Amino acid sequence: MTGSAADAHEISIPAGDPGSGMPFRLVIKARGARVEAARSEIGFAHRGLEKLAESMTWHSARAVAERAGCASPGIAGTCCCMAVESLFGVEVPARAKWLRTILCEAWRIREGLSHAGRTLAHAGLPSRAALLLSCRDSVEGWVRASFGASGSSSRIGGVARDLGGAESKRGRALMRRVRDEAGGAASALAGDRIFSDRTRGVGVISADAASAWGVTGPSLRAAGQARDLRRDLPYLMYAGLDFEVPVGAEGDVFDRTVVRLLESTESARIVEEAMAMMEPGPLTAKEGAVVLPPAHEVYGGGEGLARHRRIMAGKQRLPAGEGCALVEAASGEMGFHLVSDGSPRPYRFRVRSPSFALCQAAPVILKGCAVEDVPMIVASLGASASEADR
Amino acid sequence: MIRNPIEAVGDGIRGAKVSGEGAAARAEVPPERWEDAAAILKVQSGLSALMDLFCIDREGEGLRFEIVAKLSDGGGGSRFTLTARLPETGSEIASLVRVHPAAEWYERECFDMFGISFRGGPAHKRILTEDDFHGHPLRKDFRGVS
Repeated sequence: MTGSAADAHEISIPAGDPGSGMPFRLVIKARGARVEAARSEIGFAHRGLEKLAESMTWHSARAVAERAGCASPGIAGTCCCMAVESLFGVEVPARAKWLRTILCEAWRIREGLSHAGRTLAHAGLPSRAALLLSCRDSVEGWVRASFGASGSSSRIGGVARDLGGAESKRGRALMRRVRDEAGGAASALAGDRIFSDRTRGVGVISADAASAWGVTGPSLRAAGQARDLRRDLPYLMYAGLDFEVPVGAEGDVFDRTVVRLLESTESARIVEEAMAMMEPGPLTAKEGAVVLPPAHEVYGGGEGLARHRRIMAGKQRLPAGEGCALVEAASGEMGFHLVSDGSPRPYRFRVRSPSFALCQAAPVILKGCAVEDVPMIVASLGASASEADR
Repeated sequence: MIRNPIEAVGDGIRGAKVSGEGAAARAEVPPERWEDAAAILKVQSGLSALMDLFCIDREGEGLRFEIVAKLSDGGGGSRFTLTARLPETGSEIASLVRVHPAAEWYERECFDMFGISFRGGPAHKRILTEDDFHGHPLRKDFRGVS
């Protein structure tokens, strides 16, 4: 910072700054303690994943998708599988859809608690933040233990593993804890003077502005627009589930945080409901050019092994065409647009990430706010560098 | 009154090729009418949100680059895909920033990754790669930097 407090000065916060955890580089033009203008820059975590996927088989590309959305790999991986399945016309069995629904909601809880917790820490409520972040860590631990260490059990054509009895029991207890912690925090914050003074009217984006900048998810819903793909264009098993879509009114940090917490309690209810409703059944599709045969057929040798090799070695011709999938990810709408030219590898592997739009809209939201509020506002948006940069 | 996007773009843009329905509805428009088509869809059909804009390199085809824009209304219930095809040489198209401010970063990404120029849009500034990076990585003829 240069010059006296009243002078115009420039502040640069680097991407990944340990204090503020910025997902992008932010250059602020400030006058005194007020942000006059801001500019966000991304690309520091760019790994060329869309290009990388073009050199891989569809199955390996699915793992690339999980790295693109590594803040919630279960959601990104599931969305990618859904796009590949729509491209090649694969029908996924019901139990796999239920398990994917549970997986996605568990990651939504993990993200909701994480962003709400980080926002609270910046807002001066470290104890409540610690409670939420501890709950977040337990949820993530449960997801990785139950759905695979990579954080996603979604595979093209279904899921790789079932949810065992012990894991279900642990999950149910954990969901009760999530409802207590997140629901308790949401009602406590409503009457919390410190939090209210610090966050109401801060970091505002209206529903119209959010929509014009492609901002979706909790940041849009906090501004009063009840837009949620799980309800508007249902996928997986959401059509048969009963859940609320919490909305705010002002589109400020307060509303974004409360919406995230209420969403987490709804997601916990969805997980409990899904566990109760799902019935036994197969985990993967039987048919489909890109569907791997089950393990016992592969290890048994013969046709199963030969088919597995053909798929994984990229030695099969596939139908040409295009496939898309769109899901409600933790911070907004995530989409995959995939193109096949008939070769065993993706011809085009497009990832639409909600964080890209959030990073672009951040300067609009930050304009006019106090410099000290910048990290809190950015935390409340919940953008992820890995998603934005790919 | 909100018009069906298929009708709006079919009536308003000569040479538009429309297909699909519901969330799969799409139209390919002549590149010189790209901005007009987006404006018509925004004003007449309420498609006020640009959700994504990207390019597909169809190397070997006469019109090599396909620009794809995914649009939705504010509530998210209505979806539409708008596309245009550009030749390899002179791959330039009008920018959508006057219609959709969110187009800016997507167009910068299209320039960065494919070398597409957007007339009247953001300066040719890279967004994901470094400023002194050479080439456009998502082009099929890109052969790496090492």
